[in-house]
Amino acid sequence: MQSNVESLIKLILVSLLVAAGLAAWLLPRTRFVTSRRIGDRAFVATHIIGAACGALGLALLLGVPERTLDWHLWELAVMPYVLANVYWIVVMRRARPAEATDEKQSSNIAAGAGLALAPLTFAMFAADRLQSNGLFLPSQCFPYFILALILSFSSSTLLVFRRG
Amino acid sequence: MRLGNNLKRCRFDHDDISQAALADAIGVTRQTIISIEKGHYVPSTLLALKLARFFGRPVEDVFHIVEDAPGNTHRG
Repeated sequence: MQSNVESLIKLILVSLLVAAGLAAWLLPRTRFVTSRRIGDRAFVATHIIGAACGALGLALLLGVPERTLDWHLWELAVMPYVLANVYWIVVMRRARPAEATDEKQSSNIAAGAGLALAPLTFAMFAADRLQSNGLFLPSQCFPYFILALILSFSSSTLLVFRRG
Repeated sequence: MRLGNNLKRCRFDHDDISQAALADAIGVTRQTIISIEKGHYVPSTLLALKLARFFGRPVEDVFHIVEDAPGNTHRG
């Protein structure tokens, strides 16, 4: 049962990654994507998706760690954010990367990344404390870092964007 | 000191062009125009010059320095 579910999820993940790779490669050469700019809606949507994916993945990883790791649930949780970023790649390949985002968006991303360092440092400190008390598996560390990074970066970027 | 702007006045004088239309013409998002107008975002020199050129005015007509009131200066 477990190996069947694991195999199915692996198949879904690999299929999505292959489809995303093909989309990033082929779509800019077609007329399906006409946008040459990341609009405000796409910008906000990407970071809402990122925050939601990070939060969901962390909830799974901390709530049911063994199952989340065995069944690759955290990779599945992150996939919508990966696909949203594939859209960015498609748009950036249609235009020059510097033209795909406007300067305020770039500024918000930079400020969001800087702001994200504080909660991320706190999250890693918490993980270190949990691990030293035997409440955190070593195999949880990498997924925990990636999920906390996505959650803190997306939330911080949204916050900076909303503040103007 | 901070950067002030007359962007709203310039838009009004320019056939009351909307923020969205101005954003499209300059090649930025509407949110960027809104943030500049509110004084929340300081544009790059390039964007400031693009805006001034769009309105056909010197950049000083669109942007200006607002001096701090006496006693409200920051150290450093």
